[in-house]
Amino acid sequence: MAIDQPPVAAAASFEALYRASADAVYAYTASLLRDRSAAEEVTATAFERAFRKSRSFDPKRGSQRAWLFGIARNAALDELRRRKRAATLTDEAAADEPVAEFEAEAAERRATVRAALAQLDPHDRDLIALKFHAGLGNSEIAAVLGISASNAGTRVHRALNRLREACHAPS
Amino acid sequence: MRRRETTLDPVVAAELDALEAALADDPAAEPELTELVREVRAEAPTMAPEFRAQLDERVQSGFARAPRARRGLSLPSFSRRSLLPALGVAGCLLAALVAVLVASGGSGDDGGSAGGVASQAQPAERRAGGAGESAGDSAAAGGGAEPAPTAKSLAPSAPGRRVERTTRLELTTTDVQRVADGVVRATQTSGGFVQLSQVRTGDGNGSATFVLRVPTAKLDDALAALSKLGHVRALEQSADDITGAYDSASARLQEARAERRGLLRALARATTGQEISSLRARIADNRRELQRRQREFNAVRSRANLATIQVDVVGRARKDAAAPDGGSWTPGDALRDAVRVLEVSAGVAVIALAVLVPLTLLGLAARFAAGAWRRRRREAAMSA
Repeated sequence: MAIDQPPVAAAASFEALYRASADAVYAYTASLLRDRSAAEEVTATAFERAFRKSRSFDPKRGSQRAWLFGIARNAALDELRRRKRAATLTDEAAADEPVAEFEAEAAERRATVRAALAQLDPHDRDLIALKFHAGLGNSEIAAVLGISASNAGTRVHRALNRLREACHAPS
Repeated sequence: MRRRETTLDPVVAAELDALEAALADDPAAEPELTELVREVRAEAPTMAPEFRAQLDERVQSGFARAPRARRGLSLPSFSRRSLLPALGVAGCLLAALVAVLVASGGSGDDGGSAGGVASQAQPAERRAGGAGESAGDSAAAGGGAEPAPTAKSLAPSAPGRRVERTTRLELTTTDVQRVADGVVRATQTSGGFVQLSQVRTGDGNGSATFVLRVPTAKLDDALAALSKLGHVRALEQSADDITGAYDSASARLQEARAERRGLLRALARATTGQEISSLRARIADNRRELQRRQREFNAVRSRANLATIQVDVVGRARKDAAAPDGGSWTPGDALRDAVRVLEVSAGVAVIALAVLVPLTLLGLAARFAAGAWRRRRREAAMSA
């Protein structure tokens, strides 16, 4: 979706971006906000902003995906600031998921990871979501956060270590 | 803005490489890390199908108030950045307009080209004030180029009345000879004649005096034409009602003609030689009387029908020897005006820059500060 693309091509490009990133954007915003309904709202807002500001995208300043997650992050932070709350993520999937005997061990591991994620600092959770859910590279994360790539790598490394520690910590 | 890059610690870099391998589901990746990646990804919240369908629909429709709909109005959408060149051009045009306006207003002082409204008002005041050197006289460097008053004679006389009109016009110029020639041409054009002329040309100090007789009906036109020849220093007009003298002369002439007709009839009836001789002597006397009265009548009629204009032309030294004194707008005038316009344009541009540059810098600083403040508030929201 280059700046000078014709409208039809730009619309097609945006739709392709949407198809490729919608799930990841939602997962990211939900991880950040820990509120499904707010995440839905923010996801829709992010895509709408991206659609309307598609002409402002500059490929020289980063990938299209990084640009989109930057918009999503700002929308999520605006939402956090507006609501002044950090609602707990309603764990519907875990509640509704039937746990078979043979999956007990896997379910326990997932519960551990879930708890570890919940314990993480919001900044670390932000980085983990960008890395694991959005699948961004370090340079893309740097573009989203407005920091250098090496700084982004260092922060991702720290967040990963904290996640590991939280997973191994006694519950 | 390029950010400072530092090299990563080798240990950190290695662990990040391992993470990348796990994220890529590389079989060679660390099993523990691969498992962690899988578990975290499994924890990724997923969209509800209803919301997904709703969002799909909004994307398909271009988010309701989509720009596509606005494109139907064929109104181009401008970003703030794309408007900057247009604003710049508009600013330059505005500056040029101001420059032209300022330049055209300033050139009126030179008297080189056609004067504006303000300068045209001066001669009118002088006419009202009568003779006397005007303070603005120095502005009129070019004789013919000076704003000429549309000099008009006094109020027209009532029907049946005979009015003798006399006007005195004083012109100053740097080229007496040219004005003198113009006076003669203007007089002939108006159907009049030069009754008297005295021209003395010198190096900027010449003078000329004319007594012109022009048909009273053409007096206004003649005065207008004469006033354009130089700077009008004074204009005096007077009107004298000579209806009585005209009627008296006319009556005396009719009387003499009637007497002549009577004498001629008597001569026709005369029979004796003495009578005929006497009548012929009286007719001869009457002829002389008739001629005299005819001259008197012609003189009075001439006073009524022909207005007298006395034109005094006073020469003066040129203030600017290079300045043309012609009535036309020469290429030299154009060049001077062009240079003047450029000078004023440059001045306006400098002033505009002096205002715009600090404003732009302030705007950029404010924008940068606002952006930083907004980013800080957002990050603070996450920390809260």
